[in-house]
Amino acid sequence: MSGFVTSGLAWAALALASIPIIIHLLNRRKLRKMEWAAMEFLLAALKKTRRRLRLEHLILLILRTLMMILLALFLARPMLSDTEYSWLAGAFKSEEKVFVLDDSLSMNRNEADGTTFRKGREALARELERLGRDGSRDSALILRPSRPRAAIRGSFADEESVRKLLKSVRLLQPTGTRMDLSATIDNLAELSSTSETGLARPRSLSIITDLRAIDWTDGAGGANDSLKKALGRLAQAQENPPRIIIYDVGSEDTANLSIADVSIEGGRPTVGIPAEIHISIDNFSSEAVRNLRAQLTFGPLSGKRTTSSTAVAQPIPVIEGGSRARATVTSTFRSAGRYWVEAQLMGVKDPLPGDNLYTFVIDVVEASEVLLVNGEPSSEPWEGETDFVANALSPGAESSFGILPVVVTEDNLPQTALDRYNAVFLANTYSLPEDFRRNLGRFVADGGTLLIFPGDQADPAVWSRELGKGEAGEDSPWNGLLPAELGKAAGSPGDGWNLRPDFNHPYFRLLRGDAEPYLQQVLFEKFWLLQPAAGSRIIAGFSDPDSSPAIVEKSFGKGRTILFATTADDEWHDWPPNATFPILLRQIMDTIGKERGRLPEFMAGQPIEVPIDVSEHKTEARYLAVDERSEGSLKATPVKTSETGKAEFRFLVGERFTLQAGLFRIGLDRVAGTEREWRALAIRSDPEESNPARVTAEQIKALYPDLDLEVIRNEELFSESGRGQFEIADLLLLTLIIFLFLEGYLACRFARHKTPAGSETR
Amino acid sequence: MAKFERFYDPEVLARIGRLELRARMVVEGIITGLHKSPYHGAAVEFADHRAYVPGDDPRHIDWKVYGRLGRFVIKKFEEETNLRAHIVLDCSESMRFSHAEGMSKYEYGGTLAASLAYLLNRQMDSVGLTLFDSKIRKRVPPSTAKNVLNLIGEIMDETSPAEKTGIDQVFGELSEELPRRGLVIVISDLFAPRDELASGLQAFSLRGHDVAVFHVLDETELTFPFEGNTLFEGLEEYPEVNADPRQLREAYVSVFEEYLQEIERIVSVGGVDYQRTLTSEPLDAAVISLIAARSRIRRIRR
Repeated sequence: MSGFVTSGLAWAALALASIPIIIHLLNRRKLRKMEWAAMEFLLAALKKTRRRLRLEHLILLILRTLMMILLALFLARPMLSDTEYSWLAGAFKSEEKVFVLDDSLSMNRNEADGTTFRKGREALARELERLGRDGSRDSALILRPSRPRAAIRGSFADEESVRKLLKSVRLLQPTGTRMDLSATIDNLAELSSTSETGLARPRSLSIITDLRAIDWTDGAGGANDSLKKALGRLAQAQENPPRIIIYDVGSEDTANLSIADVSIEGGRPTVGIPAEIHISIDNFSSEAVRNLRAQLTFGPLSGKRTTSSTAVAQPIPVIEGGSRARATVTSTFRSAGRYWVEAQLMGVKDPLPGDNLYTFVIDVVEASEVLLVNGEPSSEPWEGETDFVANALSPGAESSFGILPVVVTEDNLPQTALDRYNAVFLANTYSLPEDFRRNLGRFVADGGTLLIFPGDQADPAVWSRELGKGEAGEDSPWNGLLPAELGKAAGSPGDGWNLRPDFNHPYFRLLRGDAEPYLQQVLFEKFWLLQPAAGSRIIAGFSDPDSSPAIVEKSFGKGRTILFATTADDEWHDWPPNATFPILLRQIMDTIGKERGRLPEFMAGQPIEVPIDVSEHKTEARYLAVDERSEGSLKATPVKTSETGKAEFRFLVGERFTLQAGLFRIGLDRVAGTEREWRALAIRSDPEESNPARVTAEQIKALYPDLDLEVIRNEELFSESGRGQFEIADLLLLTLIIFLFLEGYLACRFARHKTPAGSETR
Repeated sequence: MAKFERFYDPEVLARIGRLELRARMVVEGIITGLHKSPYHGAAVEFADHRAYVPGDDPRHIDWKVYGRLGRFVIKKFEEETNLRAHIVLDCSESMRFSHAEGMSKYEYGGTLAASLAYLLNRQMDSVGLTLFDSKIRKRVPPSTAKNVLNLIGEIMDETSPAEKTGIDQVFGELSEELPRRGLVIVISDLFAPRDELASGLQAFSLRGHDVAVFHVLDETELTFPFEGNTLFEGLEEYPEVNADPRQLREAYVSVFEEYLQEIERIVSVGGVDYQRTLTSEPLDAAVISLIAARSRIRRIRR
C-alpha cells in the first residue's frame, strides 16, 4: 500500500480494529454470574464442544476485526499503487488507459534518431505492445491534442485487436498545430463517458510530449491557467483522480530558427511599385547565426501552384542568440489580383524546419484606395473640403504614390463594408448615418485608419452623440473610436499659431531638419479645442498659450484614428498649400495599413468558416488541401437567417484540413458563367510553437502542486508504469458490506444450531 | 415445629395423608406399597402358595408340598411387622442449587424427607434420618416416637449444604451402621462418580436393605435453558466456566442424558426403586410415583 489520503486518520482508525477485541474482553468482565451444581456435565459439554466453539469464536473474531480494519481503511482512504490496484481491480473490471500523444509542431524536431514525434510514437507503440503481451483486460484511449475529438480506441483482448491498435498508432503523424492540452483533457471526460465499453475513470493519464514551456506555463513563469483548471476538473470528476505521467521525449537542445512574422511596407502592394516585404526571424539558440538568407516565392492564386516568382533578401550578417532580425525582400508585382506568398529561410540547418516557412495571401491592387468623405463639397477648384487632401495623396500621373482617392459626400456614403480602403478621411462632416458608423468602427477595429478633419460644420454635441457611447451604448462598434472629445472652436481671424509636432513620431520624422522651417511657416487662425480621451497620444500641439492639442492619435482594435484639430482645407489655416502637408499625409499613409497588406490568417488546427454569397456562387465547391495533392468537394450549409430573412451560407473547413500550415484553396463556381474563382485560406502555425524553451520536472511539480503528477524521461519507467496511486474506497465499502452480512449470518447460525428443539421458548 | 416447618408443609402433608388412604384402597396398603418386608419367619403370616418360577428365592420353596405333590411351590406371607425406615438425605453443596425463586434441591429433598417421615411415623413405623455429604454429618436414629419428626426437622434446618459429595464411603459406612435391615430411602441429586454411586447403593443391598432413591434435580439441570454469556461458578470444588449457554446447550443436554441413562442402569442393576423428581414438580406426585412403581414391582414379584 502506497499511503493514505488522510494518513492522520489511518492511525486513529487503526484503533478501531481493536474494538471487537476490547468488546470481547469487556464481555468477559461483564458476565452474568451463576452458581451451578451440574458442573461436571457442563465441563464435559465444554470439552466436547471446545474445539468447535474455539473455531467459531475465532472466525467471528477475525471477521469482526477485519470489519473494523476495513472501516478504518475506508475512513483513512488508502492509496494503492497501479500494480496493486490492477491486481485488485483486475478481478472486477477493466479500465481505460489514456494516452495523449503530443503531435504539435514542436514535435517535428529532428534528432539523431528521427523526430521527437517518432520517438514518442514508438514509445507509445511499445507500451501498447507490452499491454497486449500481458493480456491486459484494459482498453486504450489515445488522444491527439490536434484533434481532441478524434480519439483512437482499442483493446488488448486478442492479437488482432492489438495489431489494429498498433497499426493506427504507427500511422499517426505530427501536425503544425499548437498543443492545447486543456481542450484535450476537457474532452477526455466526454470521450470516456461515451465510449462503447461504457468505461470511464481512467486510472492514469500518460502524456507523451516534448515538455515545452509554452504548453505548461503562462509565459511569465506561472502555471497555465486553462490547463490547471482542466486538470482540476478532471481530478474532481472522479473519486480517484488519475495519476498523470508525463513522458518527456523532448530534446534538451533549444536551437531553432523560425519566421516569426511577415509584414508588407505600406499595406497592400500596388502594381508596378516595388513592395518591401519584411521577414522577421527569431533565433532561439544561445549562439549567433551568420549569413542567414531568406527568400520569397509568390504567384497568382489559382487551383494549383503553377507559375511563381522568387525574390531573395540580402543575407543577414548575424543574428545573435535569443534575438530577432529582419530580412527585407523588395519585389514588384506586375498585375493586380490575389497572390500567394511563401517566405522561407534558405540554407540553414535547423532542427525544426516546420517553422521556417510562412505562407500568406495578399491582394495586389492597382492603387491603394482611400475614401474621402467630403462634408462641404464644391464645384469650384480648391473650394471643396477634400480637394487639398485628394491632391496631396494623388498629385498626378507623374508622381504616383499608388494611392487612389475616392471622394464621396455625406449623401452618398458607401453602404457596404469598407475593407477595400486603406484609410478613410472625414472632412468637415456634420452627421453620419448609423450603418456607416458601424462599418467605420469595424473597419478601424480590423486594422483600418480613420483620419478626421472637423471643420466649421462639426457640432460637438452631434459628434459626442454619434461617435461617443451615444445611443448605442458600450457595445456599439464605434464606442471609443474618437481620440478626443470636441470642445469649442478657439482662435479668431488674425491669430496665428504654429504647429509644435513631436518629431520623433514616424509621421513627422521626414519633416525634421531641413523641412522644419517650411512647417513653421504654417499659421493656424482657428482650431477645435480637443480633450484627449484615455489612451490617446498627442503627436502635435499648437503654439498657443495653452499648447492645445493639434493632432491626437488613438489605437482602436488593430487600427487607429487620427484626429486633427482643424480643417482639411485652408479655411482656418494655410497648411494645405504648404509642401509639408502632402509629405505628412504620404508619411501617414506609408506608416498605416501595414496590417492590411495580408488577408486574414488562421491558426493550424482550427476549423474555419467561409461565408459565401449564394446569389453569386454555387453552394458546392472544390477544395485543394494544404498538401496540394488531396482534393475533393465541399458543400455550403445555411447557418442562420440574417435580419433580412435571407439564408447565409458558409463552408465549414474542418480541423482535419487545417492540421498543417499552408494554403487551403477553395474553388468557387459562379452561378453565372463557368469561370472558377479561387480563394485561399492561409493557415499558419502558432509562432509560440517555435519557442523551444522547456520546463523541468521540478518546475511542473511546483506549478501544479495539487496534482498527482510524475515526469519521467526513461522509457523503462514508462513501460514498467508504476502508474500512480489509486483509492479503493468503493471496493472497501463493498467488502465491508459483504463481511457485515457474513458476520450476521454466521453469528445467527452458530447460535441457532446449539438450541435444542423446544427449549428456545423457555 | 418452628424450626422445621419449612420442611413440613401442611398442604403437602395433607395431600400425602389423603394419598395414604387412597393408596390403601388402590394398592395393598401404603406400607406395603412403600416397602417390601425383608423379614421371614414367625412374624410373617402364611398367606398362599403359588407356582415356583425361575428367579424365585429357593428359601421360599415349600418343601412339604414338594414332598406331597412333587412340584415346587412358593409360600406367600402376609406381613405384620412394622417397618424400620431410614432416610438418607444428601446435604452436599450441589443440593444448594436452585434456579430463580424456586426451591433448592436441598429444601425440596428435605421436604420430601419430612413428608415421608411424617407418613411413616403416622403408620407407627420406625423412621430415622441421616444427612451426608462427604461424610455423615448428622443422624437421627430410627424411632417410632412422635418427637422423631421434630428431631428430623431440626437437624435438616440446622444444616446448610457446603461440602462435596462422597457417596461411596458414606453409604458403605452407613450400611454397616444401620442395626437392622430396613428400608433405606436415598434423597439426592446423585452428582457423584457413577462407580461410587453403584458401589454405595450395592453396599445397602448387600446388607439386605431395601433401597429406594429419589433423584432430585432442578429442571434447568436437564434443559440448560440459559441465554447470554454466563460465568458458571462451580459448586463442590468445581472451577468456574465462562460460556455462552446457547452454544453449549446441545452438548450439555446430550451429556446429561447419558448420565441419566447411566443412573437408570445402576439402579436397575442394583434392584433399587428409582424415582426422578424435579424441584418444580409437586412433592406428592413424586411419592405417588414411587409408591406406584413399588406396587407394580411387588405385584409382579408375587
